[in-house]
Amino acid sequence: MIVAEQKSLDEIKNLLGDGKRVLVVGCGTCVTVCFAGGAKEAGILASTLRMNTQLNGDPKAVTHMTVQRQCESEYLDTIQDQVSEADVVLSVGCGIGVQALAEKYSDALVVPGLNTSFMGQPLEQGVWAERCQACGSCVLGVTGGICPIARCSKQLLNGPCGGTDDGRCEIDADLECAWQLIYDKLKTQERMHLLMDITPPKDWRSSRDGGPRKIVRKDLRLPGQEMSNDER
Amino acid sequence: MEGDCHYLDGNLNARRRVEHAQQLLEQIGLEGKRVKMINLSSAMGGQFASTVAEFTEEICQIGPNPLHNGDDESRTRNNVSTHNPKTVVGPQME
Repeated sequence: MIVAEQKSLDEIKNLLGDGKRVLVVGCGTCVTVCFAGGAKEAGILASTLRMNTQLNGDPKAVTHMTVQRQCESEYLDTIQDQVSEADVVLSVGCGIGVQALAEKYSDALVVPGLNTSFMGQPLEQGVWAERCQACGSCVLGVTGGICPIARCSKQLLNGPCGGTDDGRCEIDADLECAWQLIYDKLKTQERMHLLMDITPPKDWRSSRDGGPRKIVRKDLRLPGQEMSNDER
Repeated sequence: MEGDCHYLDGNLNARRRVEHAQQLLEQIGLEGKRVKMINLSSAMGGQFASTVAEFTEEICQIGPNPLHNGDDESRTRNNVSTHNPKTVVGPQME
């Protein structure tokens, strides 16, 4: 899931500027699970803003709503009236949600209330860790299900490096060495021979190095939808 | 008492949440000490009464909530529950 953290109240207030009517929009998916921008957090942030701005002598009328999935246009239809009544829309969805809102309601001023951090996994209550960098060319099949791109500080494909120290990373002793984890896992699986293969340099064109990415599934396109240049 | 909860570690969890609520109040600009948590058992009625009396004194010293001046109009204007929060479950597709 996408993991995010709420911005500081001061930064949020700066983003809101002089807007008097503020609509906080939460998202019911990833940021709900990581307790950053779900219905509960949107409500708390709206209350916080109402009380804080009133105490500071610049009261704002802050309402809040939560859509099930802020990153998809159809789910945003339901808040059209509220968006049109707001001076500023404060999204507490991930960066995708913010952009989906800004694109759908192009006349509205949409600002982010969260810092989108990474794609990760909850390890235990209140702890999330990065697990995927969406490199576009998954190697988990030969690394024992442990990603060296997301979890090795140096993104090594033929690790470990000389900085591994008793299973810890030289960058941060709190980090487990991904290649130690990979070694241990492949040993358990009796697939150590995979480590004897030299992995060639990664083709990063499938990652961000190839520019913004898009996937087009012709089998899912609907009749009458105009074909873009990419699809032809 | 702390950590010795009928719900096992329930009062430890509650303490962290109370501390978070106090931080939220500070962030808003109110005093975090308007919220307080103590651990008492059901057999400590006397201590409960004296603790509540002490907290009442503390609250009186802090003074009234500046967001609520006591009149009904102000109460309606400031009450969070009047803002009709709403959760939209889906795109309401038929």
